[in-house]
Order: sequence, then structure tokens, then C-alpha cells
Amino acid sequence: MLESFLIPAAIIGGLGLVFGVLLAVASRFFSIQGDPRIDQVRECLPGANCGSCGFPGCDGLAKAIVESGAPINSCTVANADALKKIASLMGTDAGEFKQLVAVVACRSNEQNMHVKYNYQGIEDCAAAAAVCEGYKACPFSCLGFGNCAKVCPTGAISVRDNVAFVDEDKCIACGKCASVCPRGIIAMLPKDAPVVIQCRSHSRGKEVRESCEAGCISCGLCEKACKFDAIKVVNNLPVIDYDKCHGCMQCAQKCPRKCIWLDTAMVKKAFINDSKCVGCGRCKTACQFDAISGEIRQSFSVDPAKCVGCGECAEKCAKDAITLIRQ
Amino acid sequence: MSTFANLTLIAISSMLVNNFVMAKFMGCCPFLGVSGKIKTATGMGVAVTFVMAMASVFTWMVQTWLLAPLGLDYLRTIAFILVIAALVQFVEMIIQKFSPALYDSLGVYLPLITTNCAVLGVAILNIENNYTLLQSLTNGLFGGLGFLLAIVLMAGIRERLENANIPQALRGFPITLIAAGLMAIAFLGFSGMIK
Repeated sequence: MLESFLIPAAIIGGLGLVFGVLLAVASRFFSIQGDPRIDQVRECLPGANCGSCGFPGCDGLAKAIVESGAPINSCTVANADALKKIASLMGTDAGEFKQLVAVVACRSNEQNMHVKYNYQGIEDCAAAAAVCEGYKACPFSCLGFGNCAKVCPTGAISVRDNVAFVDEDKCIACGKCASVCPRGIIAMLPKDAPVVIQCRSHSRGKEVRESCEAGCISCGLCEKACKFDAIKVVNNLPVIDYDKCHGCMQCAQKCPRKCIWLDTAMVKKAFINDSKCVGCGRCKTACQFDAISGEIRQSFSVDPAKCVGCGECAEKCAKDAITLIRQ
Repeated sequence: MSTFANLTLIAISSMLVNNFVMAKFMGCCPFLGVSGKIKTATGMGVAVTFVMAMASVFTWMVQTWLLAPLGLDYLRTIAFILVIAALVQFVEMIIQKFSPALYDSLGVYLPLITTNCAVLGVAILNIENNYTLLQSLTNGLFGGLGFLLAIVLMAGIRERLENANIPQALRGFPITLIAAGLMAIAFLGFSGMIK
């Protein structure tokens, strides 16, 4: 009786043991010396395997960083500390690291939107978008069924008032929402962007006025207001070049539709430290807003009412006397 | 019938007439998954061929010398899977050592050979047909070559499909499945070769 249990178990167990030993010997024989840094780099990466770096998972990126010199800041999810650690492992500089965040560029909530028809179909953005370009009058509007929220691995997206909303603190910038949005209105922007355009409509101004209360009418006032040439209206929609943007927020102030969001936490004012100022006057010539006054060889001062916090003066100051203070 | 004629018959049968992918629909996962490029498809085909041939031999030995004498036929499936898993591990080690590029491009499909039903299928068919060791080896080897043939042909077709003007709805996987179906129909042409 007992044999009928023991023999099969012994056979299978014995087979397993034999193969195990053989494989162990073979693995010794065919072993590969991997670069130990791959494991160390892999430790620093977040391990979410989101794939937003373009490599197959965190293992793939770690291998690419060590072996083929992929840029260390390829990972958009890891925080600055982790990247610095990787940089020190690789003996290189981390490079300029820009943390990104997903932004839903639409404000067509219940107050602002114009509705074309009453949609009662499947609760899915792609399905809704397929019916006459969606129930909202604007063909670039957020349809609010939350396809983006469904794919978000961290639950950072919620739909409020018919528009998707991204929680910046939870967003890991994997970009899945942007790829799944049938309207293409989710963009990955720098997390520290001072101004964000909250509309993706390429329609002409008249059409936008008829379809939404909060859409960009491509009036071009933001382009004119920008003294740093950072905004260009392309195809009826302003585009911000964040490399040129100084965060003066003049565009947002001038926008008649208030569709440029400004980060109130980023509003800054320049402050001149009298003890360091030698009165060279470079700051005054640099200021494009006429906010600095004073006499050469004496001290200069900033008029807080006129200062927009663009930081041009601080860049030009040779004595490091100007600091930008957040309001 | 002479031994040679018999082996030829088995070879043609398992390679063309009863092709594992095209006639028995075994091993469809790697067939669809790794047939994107001819180079990786060839690598996968060779790996599967090797594993199928080796698995045929080892499973035949396990069956004839171990399971059958002890009357443990019911352990066949689990014992065979054990043999195949060990073999695949072994093949994986060899490929990783001697061709890292192939190892990378095969990716997750390499360990998936373990659960590839073409490999287990050939092992079990060998036993059910009461093949000798030599016949089993022939069946496994040519079955694998049949898989290699099918996957390389498929990869060739898919490489050309890349540049073809395909209707939007059929792009990607759907057209691949249609192509696979047409290939299976084409392979039906061999069915008259062996009675």
C-alpha cells in the first residue's frame, strides 16, 4: 500500500534531484561574469517597470545605463536622490534632471462646456469620442469618462466635474494616460512649470468661443506679453518653450480667457541685498519691466509692484546681490 | 518496410504533413510572439528544434526505462515536464553564454519553451505511437525543423507586412492571425503525401 505512494514520489523526487545537480554543475560551467554595477543601479531604480524610459523594465534600463551608456535621467519616475546615487555609481554627472508630470489640458467642466447632444452610450472616452467627435461641442475636450484614470498605475487621476484631474504628488510620469487619451490632450510637462496652457484646441477663435467658455481663442496676447520669446502661437494654440520661460507669468496675467494656469507658489520677487550691491546698474538695464530704480555707484532697489520675478537681474548681477524670494 | 524508409516517412510526416504549428496547432505562442524578425525567429526555431529533439530522447528513456517497468504511466505528464524544464534551463544557459544577442531578443519566450505544448506534445506522441528511440529522435528533430520552417516563413511574411498597405482595423495582430491561417491552409497541401 505504502509503496504505491512512495515509489512515484521517489521517482519524481529523484529525477528532480538529478536534474537539479546537473543544472547546478552546468551553471557553474557556463557562468557569466555580469557587471556588478547593473544590480546596484537596479537597486536605485523605482522598480515599477512602467517602461516610460523606453527600455524593457527597470532591469533593462539598469543594463542600458551600465553597458551602453544610456542617459541616467531616462527614468522619469526616480527621484533626484536616486539619480544622484546612480550617477555616483557610474562616476558621471546626473545631468539636468527634469521631473515630469501629466497635465490634462482642458477645463471644459460643467460650467464651461457647451454640450452638443446627450450621450448615453458606453462610459468610455474612446467610445464617446467615436460618436460625432464626442458629446461636448469642442473636438479637443476632455470627455471625462476616465480612460486615463483606468490605466493610471498609481491612481493619480480622478474625474471631477466631467474633466480628468491629475494629482501631481501621486503622478510618476509614466505617460500611460497620455497614450490612452483618445483626444490627445494629456501632455507630459515639467513638474516645476510655472505656467501651463490648459487647452488643446486647434480650432479658430470663433469656433472655440461657440464651443467652450474656457478655451484658448488664439488671440496671441500671451505671445505679445512674453518678453523672453518663450510663447509662440502655432496652429491656433500657444506653445510654451520651457527652456526659455522665466516664469514671469505675464502670459497668464494677460490671457483674457484665463486658460493659462499659473503656479501661485512660484510667484517670485527680486530683492537686492544692499551690502553686496556695488551699484553697477546691470540689473537696471537687464530689467524689461522697469522695476529697478537707483543711481550708478549707489545702491539700486526693486519696486515690488512692478517686479514679476523673471530673474533676469539676478542672472546679470556680477556680485550675487540679488535673490528671488517666493511670495 | 525498411528502417530507413520508415524514418523518412516519420520525418516527412512530422515536418510537413502533420506540422506541429500548422496542422496540430501546437506551439502557437512563440510562433506568433517571436516571428517578428527572421533572425530571432531562426534563433527561436533552432532552440525549439534542439529542445524537441533532446526532449524526445530523454522522455523516451524516462518512459521506457523508468516509468513503464514500474507501471507509473500516469506520471508521464509531470515527469516529462520536469525533463523538459531542465532541458530548457540548460539551453537557456548555453544561449546566454554563447549568444547574448539572441538571448536578449528571445526574451521571455525562451523560458516559455518549457510550457510550449509542441515540446510536450512530441514527447507524448512518441510514446503513444510506440516509437523506438531512433524513431522518437527523428520525430522530435523533424517536428522541430517543421516548427523552424513555419516560424521562419511566418517571420518572412511579417517582415513584408510591415511595409504593406493594410486596412487600419487589420494592422498588427489581426493580419498576423490571418496570415497564419492562410499558411495553415497552404500546409494542407501536403496532406496527400502520406496515407
